[in-house]
Amino acid sequence: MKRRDFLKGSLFLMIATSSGRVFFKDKNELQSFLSAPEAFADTFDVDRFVPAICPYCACGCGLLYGVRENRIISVSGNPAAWNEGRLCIKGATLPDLRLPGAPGTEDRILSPMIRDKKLRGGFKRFKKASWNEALDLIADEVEQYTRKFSGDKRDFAFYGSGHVSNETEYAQALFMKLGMNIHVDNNGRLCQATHVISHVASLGTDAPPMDYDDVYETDNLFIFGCNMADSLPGWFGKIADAKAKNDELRLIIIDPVKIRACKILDYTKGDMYIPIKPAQDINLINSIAYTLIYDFEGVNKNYGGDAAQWISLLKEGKVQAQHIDLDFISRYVEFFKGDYSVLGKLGKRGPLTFKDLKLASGLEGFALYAEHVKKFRPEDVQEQIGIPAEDIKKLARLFSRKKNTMSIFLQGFGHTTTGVAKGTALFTLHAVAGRIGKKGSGVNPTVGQPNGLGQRLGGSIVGRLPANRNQPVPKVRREFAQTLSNGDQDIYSMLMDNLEMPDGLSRLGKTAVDMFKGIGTGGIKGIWIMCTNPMVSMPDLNMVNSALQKAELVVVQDIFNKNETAFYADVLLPAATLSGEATGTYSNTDRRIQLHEMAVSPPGKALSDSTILLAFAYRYSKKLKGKGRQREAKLLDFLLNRVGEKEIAVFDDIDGNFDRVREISPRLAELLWMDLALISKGVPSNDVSGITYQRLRTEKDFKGYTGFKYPVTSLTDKGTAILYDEKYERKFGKRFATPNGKMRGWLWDNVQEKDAVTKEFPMVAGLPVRLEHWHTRAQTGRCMLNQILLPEPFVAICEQDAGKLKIKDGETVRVESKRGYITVKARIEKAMPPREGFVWIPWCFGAAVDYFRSKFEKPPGTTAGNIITADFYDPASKEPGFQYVSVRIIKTEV
Amino acid sequence: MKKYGMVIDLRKCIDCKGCIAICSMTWNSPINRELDDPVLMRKEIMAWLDGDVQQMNSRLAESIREDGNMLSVFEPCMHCDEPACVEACPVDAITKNEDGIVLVDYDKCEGDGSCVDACPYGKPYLRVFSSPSAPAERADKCTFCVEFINKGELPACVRTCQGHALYFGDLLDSQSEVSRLLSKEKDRAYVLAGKDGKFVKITDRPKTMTKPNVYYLA
Repeated sequence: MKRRDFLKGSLFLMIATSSGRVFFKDKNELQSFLSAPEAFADTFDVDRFVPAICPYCACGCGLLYGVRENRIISVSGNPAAWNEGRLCIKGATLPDLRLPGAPGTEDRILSPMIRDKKLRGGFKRFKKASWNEALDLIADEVEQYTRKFSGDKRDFAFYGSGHVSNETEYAQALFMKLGMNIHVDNNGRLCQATHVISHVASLGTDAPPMDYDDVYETDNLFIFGCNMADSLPGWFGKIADAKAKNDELRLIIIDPVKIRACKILDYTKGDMYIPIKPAQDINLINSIAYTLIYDFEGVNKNYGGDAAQWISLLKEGKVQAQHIDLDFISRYVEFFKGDYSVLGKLGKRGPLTFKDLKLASGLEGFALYAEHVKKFRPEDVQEQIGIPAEDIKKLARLFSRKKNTMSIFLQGFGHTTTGVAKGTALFTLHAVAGRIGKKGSGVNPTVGQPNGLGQRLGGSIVGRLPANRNQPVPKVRREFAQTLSNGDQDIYSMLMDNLEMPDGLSRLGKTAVDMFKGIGTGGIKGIWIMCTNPMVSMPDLNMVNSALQKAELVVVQDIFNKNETAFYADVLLPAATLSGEATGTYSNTDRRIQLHEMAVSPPGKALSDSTILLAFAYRYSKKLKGKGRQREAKLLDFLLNRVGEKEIAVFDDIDGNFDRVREISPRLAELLWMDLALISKGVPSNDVSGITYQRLRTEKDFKGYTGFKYPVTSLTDKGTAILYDEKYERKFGKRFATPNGKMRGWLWDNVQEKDAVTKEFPMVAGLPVRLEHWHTRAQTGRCMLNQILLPEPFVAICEQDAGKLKIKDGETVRVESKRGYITVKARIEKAMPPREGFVWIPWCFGAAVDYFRSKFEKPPGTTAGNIITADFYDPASKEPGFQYVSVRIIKTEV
Repeated sequence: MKKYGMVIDLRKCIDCKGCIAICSMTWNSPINRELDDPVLMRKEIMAWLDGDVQQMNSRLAESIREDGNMLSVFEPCMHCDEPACVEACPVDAITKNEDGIVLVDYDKCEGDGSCVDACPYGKPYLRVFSSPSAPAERADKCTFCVEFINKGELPACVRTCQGHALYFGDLLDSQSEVSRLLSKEKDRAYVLAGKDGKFVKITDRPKTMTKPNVYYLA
């Protein structure tokens, strides 16, 4: 039946509808979706609709794939999911990745491929291999490298991604990090490491504490350095809705760029856009604190600026505070000195770091804080911040306006070398004002990647253990090893060896930047890169380029051959896309676990990422046994058997049992989930023990949506909206997830960015994510509308700077830093102008010029923004400073 | 008897471009994504990327507002009360149905393009590539996703709007969301005057206009 037939009359429609189209083949499993009245997708000519999650940003919009004859024909938002059927451009164009004959996607990897190392470079000269052959080749080399250590870990690196499932993250943690004891980190290091450490340092453990719908409850919403309309359109849409529904909601956007999100500001109502100078957030935050204490509470006027006198009167009950929450501070806050030279050792030393930095608890600590912020008088810092003192005071007024204030931050903090300081300073401001741990009040550091939170939950990144446990805490390590070893003393001691150094400090692999730098300098022999494209996304691409050329082995596990990283691969492993071709779960930035169902079978010999990791671990263990490394094999086998002793035997001959491997892949994913859920029992803020695939398929949560927001502690638990409120305290016995239940406040001075501007490099560049393309454009660059709307890189510059530099719109310029230069068009940006002295370059462009016309430069290319960025990172989180790069702009045409 | 219309709250649009993307996907404009023939598929994709075919059933016009903020205006067909396309069609292939939706009958259309020239909003266009629902070389345009509406659903753009900015319903029903919104917000209600993106307040709508049924709240 063709659509046009429907146009001819409504009678036909009635018949067509009542004749019953089948939405899902397995009605029992998917019955809950059938009840969604709007669950009609956008085309009539499909066999069934399959629920999955959008694979791009951290919003995690639910979607329905319309499938006809094992081909994805259409996509629409899933009305049963939290997004209620909504999708942005990226989600809506997903079927473009699967068009037969599409020139952008012809390079899908269909079989394992091996290339002679002498021929490394380019996209050709690969030979097809079987799965057995390819995995054994890797196992053979890795067995040799891992006989030695490089730093804390055995000498091989696995670089993963926040785009794979929770199950894959968990497999990576179990087999690579714990079993093989090699260096394991993810692209999350470039994305949310700062958020993790801000959470841990402030709240005790890592989990974004708030809820999407808090934007409907709050009175004042501060967005610090978060290009939210571009990077999280789903959630930002709720903010637009909340603003229209609530006349009393004030929105404040603080960013050196007048980002797309500013388009919903209503200045007549009192919304504000604050074009802060880059890296001045701590000055601003502390200046707001100053205003609250010294101006609004009258400490200057009534006590001659002596906060201690005011606090003692408060204690005696002789005066009342209006803007500072004395009760909250005395019950729930401890204060610490902000000092990167100590906090930088957090990963290794864990709680010892906090002991070294602790100042005082409660009001005694607050007195120190008040004294500390005294030097941030708006009039004294306005020039540094680049905002008039009057505006700072307006911000302070907005901050303490009405009952609730919420702050969101993302890469304006994360992508700087001072992000943890900024994040923890912001938590502290909310704490002293008592605007935290309530519906509509608090700080929510958002996630960027679709399963950014999953790499923390799965425990695959450095410093996190499965169920997002804090590895740096000795007690946590011991409890985790006990849980995992299940009473086997030998396994326990092997696990402890892999978690802890002989000196009792944490055993940590190298973090992303150091991992690649390690390869360049010969410390790490080889690397396995899964579902990420560091040859575009890492800072200082010349460094990465040299590392990948020097590596003795480069394995790339991905979906397309032509990506900048695969250019240097020796082995290519064909992965299934999680969204559409595999089964598994994602955790979005709302802490919601949602399930991907498999819509179509993967093309060629592609396998899901979690299956590939299981298969490798199985074969690697055999290799170890063959080489006499029985104890290591014993640990790996123990971990494999936790997942499923019976099932994994298929990996004895992957190619021979290929159909069976494909068939049991969804089951293996479920078994991995069940194990992760089991060992998450009792972990603060990250307990997912009540979530099963069955519940994800058939139940709705407390809001009536599919998926569950963790913690979910039992099979009847419908999920948790926000963390660290009074309800949380009643349920878990503590208000915050620190050992004593108190949150940590931090006294910071503004910290200098590492790539400081100089006379030669006087401007600052930032590399934001753009709406049209996701990450390194490896997928959206192959989707037509996305590519048409944002086809090429450029540098966005404001009119004033363009005038000073005599640059015309569209003129080709060189953007130079100490690392190198790129040659791009200058765009005098009117829609999203940066403030003077700041320029922005879309982060997504690499050496791939045009996927449709197969135009590629040799990596790193001539226009990739990350050629100019630096590998400096935040000392505590090790996250690099993509949004603060000192540059100069040179006209190339005279 | 109904009169379907749309109200677009411009303050809520976050410029996520989901509306035009899902419209392009759903109605296979400007190219047909459901083709099975890889050679044809390649040809159509490259024609789009080369700029040889462009027009979709809806568009998103972007500009800068007076206060310096960005403005994005989603433009589906206006489904006018006095549609110029209906008037202009020499073979009566375009009709306004009893629900107020302006539709092209592809069997009658001879593709002479009169409607394309006549529409003050530039909405109808001649299809270059056929789709499962519409043939090539005939006029095509936004139908308010009539098939979905007939089943009690919303048009694809309305359903996908991340900013909750698009509202759809029966303008004759005083209890519908669109009617209530328009009567409540009539001081900020506008219609588009034409292709140039200029807005006219509904209170001073000139008589010559085609009486569009897509309203904008500014």
